[in-house]
Amino acid sequence: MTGYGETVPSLRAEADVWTWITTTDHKRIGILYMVSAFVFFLGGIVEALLMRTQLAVARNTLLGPDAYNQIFTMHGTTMIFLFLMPMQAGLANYVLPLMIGARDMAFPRLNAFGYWLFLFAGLFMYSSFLIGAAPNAGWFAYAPLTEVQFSPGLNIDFWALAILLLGISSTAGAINFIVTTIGLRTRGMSFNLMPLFVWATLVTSLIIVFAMPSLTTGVVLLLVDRRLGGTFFTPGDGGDPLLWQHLFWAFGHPEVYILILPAMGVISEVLPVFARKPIFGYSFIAWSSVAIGFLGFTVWAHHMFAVGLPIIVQALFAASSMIVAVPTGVKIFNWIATLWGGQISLKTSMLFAIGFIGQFVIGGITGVFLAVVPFDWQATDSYFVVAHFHYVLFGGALFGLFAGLYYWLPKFTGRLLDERLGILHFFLILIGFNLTFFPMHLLGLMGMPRRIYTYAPGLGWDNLSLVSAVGGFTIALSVSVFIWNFFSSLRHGQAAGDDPWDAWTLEWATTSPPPPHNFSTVPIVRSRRPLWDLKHPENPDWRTAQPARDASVESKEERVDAGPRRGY
Amino acid sequence: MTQVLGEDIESIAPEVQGSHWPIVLAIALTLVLVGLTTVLVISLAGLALALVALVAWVAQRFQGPSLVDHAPASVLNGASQGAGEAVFEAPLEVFTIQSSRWGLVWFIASEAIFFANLIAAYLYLRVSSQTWPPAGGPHLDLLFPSVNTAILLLSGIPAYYAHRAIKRGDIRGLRIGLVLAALLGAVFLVGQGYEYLTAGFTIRTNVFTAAFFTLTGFHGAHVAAGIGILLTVFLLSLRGRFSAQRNFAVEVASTYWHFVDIVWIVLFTILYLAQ
Ligand SMILES: [Cu+2]
Repeated sequence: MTGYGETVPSLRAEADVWTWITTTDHKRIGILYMVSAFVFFLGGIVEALLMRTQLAVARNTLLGPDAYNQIFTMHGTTMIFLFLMPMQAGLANYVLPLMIGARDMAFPRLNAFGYWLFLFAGLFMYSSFLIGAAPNAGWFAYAPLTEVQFSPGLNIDFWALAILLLGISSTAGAINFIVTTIGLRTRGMSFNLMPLFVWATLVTSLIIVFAMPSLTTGVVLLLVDRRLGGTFFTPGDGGDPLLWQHLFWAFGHPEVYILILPAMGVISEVLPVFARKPIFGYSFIAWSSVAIGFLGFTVWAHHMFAVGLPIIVQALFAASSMIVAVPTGVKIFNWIATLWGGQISLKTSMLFAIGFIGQFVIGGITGVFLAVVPFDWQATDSYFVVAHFHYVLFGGALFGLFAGLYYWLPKFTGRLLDERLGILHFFLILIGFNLTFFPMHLLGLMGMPRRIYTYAPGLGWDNLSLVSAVGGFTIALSVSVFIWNFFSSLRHGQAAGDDPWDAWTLEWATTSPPPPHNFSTVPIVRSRRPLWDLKHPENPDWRTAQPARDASVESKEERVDAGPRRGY
Repeated sequence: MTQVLGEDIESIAPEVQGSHWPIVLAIALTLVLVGLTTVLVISLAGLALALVALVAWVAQRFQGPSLVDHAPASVLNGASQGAGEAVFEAPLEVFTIQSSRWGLVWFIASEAIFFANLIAAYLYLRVSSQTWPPAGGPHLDLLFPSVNTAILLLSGIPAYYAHRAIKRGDIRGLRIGLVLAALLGAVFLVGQGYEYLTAGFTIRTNVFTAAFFTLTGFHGAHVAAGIGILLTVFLLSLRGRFSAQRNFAVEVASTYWHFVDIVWIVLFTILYLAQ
């Protein structure tokens, strides 16, 4: 009765295949995205376990060198393109229209198209295993190794062609999020009142639109080289292997923010709800996303410090890479300030959010190490780098995703997840994650290169590698706890109700799961916590805590705001 | 409680409609890839299926009665503000068109960024080379491509005219403009094909020729797509789909066509004029 929704039959009651195939409902597409991405995630985990088992002891013979190359390439490509990106697309697909009080995305059919293209591109890439020719040049596919004289098989073609389709898919999705956010916000929701997850998704989408074409260009030129006899990346005929690196990392570094910003958006929703306080420094968090998105395009060559760029260029990129840590730090201080003095409720979602902060800070700090050119020369292509980006993308992006899943799954399914299993999941994955990846810092500093399929005993790598393998299996165990928790919640879970967390954004104002048209009545927004206003008519935010409206923040939005207020 | 804070929108919120064309188009594009790793026939089949799916996708949008013709002007104008409230006041189709305009803007932006990357790659190779064009590199003749360029630029005029015409409700002017623009575009493509055949070098000659064929080839593909859009809109106009109020498809066609023109000006400058 507090909401804008109505009672509807649950999604499972109408689970007929044709409706799912032809669906253009953002909620169903979101579910399709998330389920498919999770299946790819399991594939990526299996690949990771194969690698960790192979390296658990010296001179292991489980995998040969070529198989190992295929496995680590597919692990990286899967986790980035087939898990993290589509998982976040799925989450945003489901939640964003609800958060802004819209009926659906701006382009429902384009939305469905983006999903199917992602699914088929992923299946296409995985079909390469059937002929034993999975991509094998690493997820960044450096030329000239990927040129046809060094990689004559179909492996790289599978990779390049699938990446082309995935680029189209994610660009289509990003344009949809941008237009939806610009055009379909409900009454009174100015940019300045949007939930921070919406901000994060908007900035992420802008980064995708601006960064993805660099990768597409690189892949197109690579295919011209491989299929039509071009020489773009072949030195000698005027081609240049470094061109590939520039194109790839001009995409590749912004991609890091594509992967991390949605998680930061989730954290910015979860922390205040479970600390029972409004977010601290809303504008700083929103605009630091914009700053990160912008600065993220100026740092790509820090991936290329070892290729012999001019020293002055290296110095500039080192400086910009350190500067990008500033808006990230701004966010972290605001999150901590949000927790400060709050009545903290340690639900599983909150545990993952706090875990995110801790793990991500470690990854951020080692990132600043790697921005220091001489350190990078020492650590590049070692396990230190592997440790660094797993703290960012696993301890960061993945923990953020789990925080989001524990937070929003009750909205999607109408059922609460079991808290005890959730806590078990959290601590298992926290321990497993640190067991797996913390030793890699040490291994890297001891000189262990990444991407080797085996090593000689007696180098001092054995014990740490074994610990890392144990950690890997602990992670796998924790994920199976999550899967168990999810399926048992569908059957035995406590009914969630509309608003199980006593939250403040619009998705909790409708039923769980929401009806096909989301809201029966138009939600009206007058503050950043519309549901607080609805629940506390005697003390609404818009009366007591008007957001700061300095002139810099969209004076045009004022007018948009003013319209819906008529009559009050 | 809810009545105080919200308004009933059921009357303007039709049921979510499904469509199978998204999955068909995705399958078609995947078939193109499958063909590239197996037998090329599959790619061609995929392309054909993609074409069918695209046309059907557009056609689906034109089914059912138009709401725009009945909408009061205030609603149409209000929706163009783009934010918040207009969404629920306007009929569904109106805000779809406003969103579509933003979608067009961002689609063209993403294409422009793609071309910008291709051009940046070309300039990078050029700047980092000792000699340009590399050994054995051709010097491009200017006369024929200049004429061809003039033809393509000229085609922008009827495309512009077509959009102007339909905004006055002149359906005949619309048709003439569309066909003329498509015709001139086709002449340009034939000219480019002639230039390819008589060039005396291939994509394998050196990195300059590889870049030449890649850049002009991608542009040519966009011209072909533009012709396809112009002709699709022309076919729709034969079935009387457009009016002074309802002409967004024409706007798409003409905007896209101008975009393709502008890209060519940049390519012509860096590939031919600044050799
Ligand atoms: Cu980077």
